[in-house]
Amino acid sequence: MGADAFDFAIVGSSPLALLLAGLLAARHQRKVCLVAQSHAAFRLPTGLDLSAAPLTRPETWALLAATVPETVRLLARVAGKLAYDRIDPLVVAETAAGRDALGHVRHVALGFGHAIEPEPASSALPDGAVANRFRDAVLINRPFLEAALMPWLESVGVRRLDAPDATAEFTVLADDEAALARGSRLLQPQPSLTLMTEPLPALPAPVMSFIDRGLAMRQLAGGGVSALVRGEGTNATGMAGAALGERARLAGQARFLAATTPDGAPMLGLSEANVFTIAGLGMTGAFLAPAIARFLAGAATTQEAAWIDARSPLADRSLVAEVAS
Amino acid sequence: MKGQPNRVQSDAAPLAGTQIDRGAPLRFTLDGRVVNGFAGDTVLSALLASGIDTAGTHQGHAIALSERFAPAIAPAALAADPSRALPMQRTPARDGLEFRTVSGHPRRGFLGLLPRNDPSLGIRFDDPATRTIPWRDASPVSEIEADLVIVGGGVAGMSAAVAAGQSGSSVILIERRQNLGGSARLFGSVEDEEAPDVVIGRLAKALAHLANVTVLTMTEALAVSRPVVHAHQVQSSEGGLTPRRLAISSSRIILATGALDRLPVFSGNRLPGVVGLLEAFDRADRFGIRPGRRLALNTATNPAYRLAMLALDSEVAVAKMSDTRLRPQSRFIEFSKAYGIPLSSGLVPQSVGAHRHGGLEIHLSLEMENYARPEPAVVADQFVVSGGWQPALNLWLSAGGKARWRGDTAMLGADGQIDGMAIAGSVAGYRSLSGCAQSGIAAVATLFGRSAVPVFDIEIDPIYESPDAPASVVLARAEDEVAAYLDDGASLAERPRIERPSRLSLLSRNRRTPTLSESAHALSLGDLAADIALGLIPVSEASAVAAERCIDPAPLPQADAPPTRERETPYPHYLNERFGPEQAVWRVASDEPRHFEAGNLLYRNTDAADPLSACGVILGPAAEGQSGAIALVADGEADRRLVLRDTSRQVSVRLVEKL
Repeated sequence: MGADAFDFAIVGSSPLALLLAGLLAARHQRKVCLVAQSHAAFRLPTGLDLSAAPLTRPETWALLAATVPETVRLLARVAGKLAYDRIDPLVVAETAAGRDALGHVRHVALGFGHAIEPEPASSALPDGAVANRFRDAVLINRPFLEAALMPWLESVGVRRLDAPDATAEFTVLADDEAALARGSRLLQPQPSLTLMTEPLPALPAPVMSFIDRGLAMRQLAGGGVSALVRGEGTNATGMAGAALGERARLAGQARFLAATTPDGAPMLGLSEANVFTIAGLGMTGAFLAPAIARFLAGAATTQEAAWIDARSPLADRSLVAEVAS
Repeated sequence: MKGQPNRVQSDAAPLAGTQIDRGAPLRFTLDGRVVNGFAGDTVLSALLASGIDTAGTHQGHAIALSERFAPAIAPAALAADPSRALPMQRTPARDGLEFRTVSGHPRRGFLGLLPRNDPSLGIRFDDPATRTIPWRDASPVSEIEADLVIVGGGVAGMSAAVAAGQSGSSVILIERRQNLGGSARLFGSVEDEEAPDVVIGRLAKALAHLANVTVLTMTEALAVSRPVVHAHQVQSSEGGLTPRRLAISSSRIILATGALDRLPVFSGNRLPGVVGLLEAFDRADRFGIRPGRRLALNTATNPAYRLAMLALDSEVAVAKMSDTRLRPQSRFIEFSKAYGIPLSSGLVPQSVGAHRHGGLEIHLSLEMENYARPEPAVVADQFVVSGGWQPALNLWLSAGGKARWRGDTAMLGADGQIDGMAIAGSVAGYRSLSGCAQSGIAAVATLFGRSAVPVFDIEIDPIYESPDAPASVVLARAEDEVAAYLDDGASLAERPRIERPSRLSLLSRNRRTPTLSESAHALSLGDLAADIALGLIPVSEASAVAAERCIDPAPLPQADAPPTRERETPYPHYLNERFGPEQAVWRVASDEPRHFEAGNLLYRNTDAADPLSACGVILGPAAEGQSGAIALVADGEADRRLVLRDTSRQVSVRLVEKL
C-alpha cells in the first residue's frame, strides 16, 4: 500500500458516514478518506437521527442497547453535548396493520428496559390513531454535529476528498445517496420529500413518526417543522399536511431518493468487490456506527457480526424483514 | 397639502407624481387615524406622504413600511373576514373609507386609538403570523383562460402583449401597479434609443386598440403551477374595493417580472428612512413623495445618480452621494458633478441609527483592498441605497424552473427551459430599453413557434459606464445594536449576530445558533444572494438552496387518512422465522378473562424476560366467537403453558389449538 493509499474510503455525508470515518481512523487505526459534502448547515435534511425507532427485531434492539450509550459518549467527547438532545418522541399508528406493528415494537422495546407509554387520544393526533411515547431517546442535531465533527476527523487523520480514491482497499457507501449512486439489485430508490414549515404551535412531541404515512417529523426550536415523507407530489405533501393541520405552510421543500429494500430491513454488506454498502438503516443508523466500524475493522463481537451478516445482500433476508415505515 | 409632510409641494417639480391628481384631495382612516392623500394614491403612498413610514417593530427595533413590507388591510366593517384582506400597496386610496390592519394587533393608545403623530402602524412582527399574506390561501373565485399570459407590465411585458395581440391571440397581461411601464423611467435610454415615455406611450396606445388583450392592473401573480398562474387582484369600482383570487390558465406564459433591488447588508438597513433605489424613485415619480428634506445616497449602480439629480430639482438637498465602487464612471456621474452634488467613491455603509436631533445618522467607511477608514457620520432624513439587481425569478422557481449563480454579476439567473414558458426583460438579464422591448417580442415568437427574433441589448463600454456592482455586505460587529437584514421582504432573515457575553452567560452558554437549514422561513432571492456574499452558502450550492428555499409559502395540502393496511395473514412479514423455522400460529387462552395486545411476548417460564429468549408473541384477538387470542409460537403442543409478559405483570396462558 502506497503512502497515499487508504484502507477505507467512506462515501457519504450522513452522521453515520462521518462517525464511521472517525471511528475507523481513531479507534481502529485505519487510514481513512472521507468523500462527503458539508451541507447540513444550509440544505434541508434528508434524514433524522434518533436512538429509537419503530423496530420489531429484538436483535436490533439488543445491538442498540450496547451501541447507543457508546455513541452518545463519543458524541459528547468529540462534538460536545450540543450535538444531541434527549427527547420523548411519539410513534403513531393509524391502520390495523400499523397498530399491530406498534404493539410489537412497544413490547420488544419494553423488554429491553425502555420506558414507553401509550399516549392518550387527543385532538393533536389524527382520528383513531394510537400513539406511544418513547422516553429518553437521543436525537442528533445534524448541522451542529457536522460542524463539530470536521475538526475531529481532521485531528484523527481522516482525509477529505472530492471523489472516491481508487487506491482505497475498501469503499464504504455509507448513506442512501452514495448507495443508490453505485447501484445494488436489492436497493430501490424511493422518491421522498423533506418539507420545512413555517412556525407552528407546539406538536405533541418534538419528533413524531407515523408508521402508516411513511412520515417522520421534527419540530425545531423556532417552531418550524421539518417533515420527511416517502412519496412525491400532493399525495406525499398531503400526508404531512394532514398530520400537521391546516395552519401548516411551506417554508422549504427538497426532493431526494431514499434507498429502501423490499423486506424493509437494512442492507449492510458487499454489494460488489471491495464495496461495502450500508443503506436503509433509517433513523437509528448513526447509533450503530461503533458496531459497524468494529465489523469493518475485523473487531466485531459475535453478536455484532451476526446482526450485520444477517443483513447482507447475500443472506436470506426474509429472516430479518422489518416494518417498513 | 395639509397633513402630507412628505409630499413634494410643487406640482411643477420633476418628481411631482405622475399618478396623483392634486386637484382631488381625499381622506380616509386606518386603525382610526386620519390619513390624507390625493386621487391616484394607493393606501401605502398616502400613508408615506402623511409621514407614516414605519410598519412596526421586530425584536424591539422599528421596521420601515415599504412596497415589499406592508401589512394587509381591510375595510373596517369587513376586517374579520380574511377573504376581504387587501394589500395596501395595491389598494387605491378612497375618500371616506375606514380601513383596519388585519395582519396584527397594532399597539393602541388612549381610547384604543393609535397615538397621534406616531409614524408607526404599531405592529409587532416578532410573531410570524403577522407576516402572513391572507389572500395567498384563498381559493380562486375566478377562472379565466387565454392563449398567452404575461406577468409584468413593464416595457418587455407590454411589447410581448402587443406582439401577441397583433397576431390575433388572446392575451392577459398582469401588472401589480396601477399603471404600466415598470421602472423604465428610472433607467432611461442609452445612445439613440427613444425616451422611455415615448416607448411606453406608444405601447400603451397599441394595447388600447387590441380588444383581444386584457390588462389586469393592481393584480399580482402569486405562483405559477403550470398551466395556471395564480393571481390576486384588487378590483376598484364605484361600489368599492373588492379583492379577487384568479386562476388564469394558459399553455403559454411569459414572465417579465423585472429585477429586484438588492438591499446592502449593514446594521439598521431596515430602519424607517432607509429606502431602496427603485422604491424611492417609484414613490417620488408616481406619487410625488419626496425622500425627506435631506437625502443621502449610497449606490453600487449608476441610475442612483439620476435620482439624486431629480431630487435636487424637487426641493430636496443631497447631503451625500457615495458609491461603493472605486472611481466609477457614468454619464449620470458627469451630470451629477455639473449639478454640484458632493460625490465620494469606495464608501460602504457600515451602520445606520437614529440621530439624536432627528433623522438618520449614517456611518460609512472607505473600503479598499487591505485598507478601511471610517468616514465622518452623515445626517439625513432619508438614506437611499442601491445594492445592484436580482432578477425576480420567484415565479420561475415556483413553476419548477432552475436557477444558477452567475459569478460575474453576483446574481442568480434563470437556468434551462420550461415547456410553454419564457422570460423577457430584465428578469432575463436584458439591460437596455430596446433590449427589454425586443426580448418581449422574442419570447412571443419562441412560445408560438415562430422564427426567432434577434435581441440587441445595448451595453455601454465599461470605460464610459462602470458595471453595476453587487450589494455591499458588511460582516457583523459586536457593537451593532440594530439588526442587519438580508433583504427587504417579509422573511426578516437577519445577518448572523455576534453574541455578546451576557451577565447570565453561565446560564446561557449552552446555546446553539440555528442554521439556515433549520430556518422556518422561505428565503427571498435577496436573502439567498446575501447568504452567499456572507459565505453562509457556497456558490456551488446556490442552485440547490434556491430550489429548496426560494419557494411560495403555500399551505400544505391535506390528504385523507393513510390507505387502509389490513393485517397480513397468517402473520406479518417482520415476524418471519422470528421464533425459528418450526413456528406456528396457535389459539391461546388464559385462565382469567383479559385483553390480549398484539406484541405481548410469550416466554417458557417466569424467569425469562429477555425478548431474545421469547418463544412466542400475541398476534391479536381470537376469531369472533372464540375466547383468547391468536399467537405465533416457536413450537408446542396443546395445553402447554406459557408466560405472557405485559409490562410489570405475568399471566399464565395455555396453547389451545394449532391453527
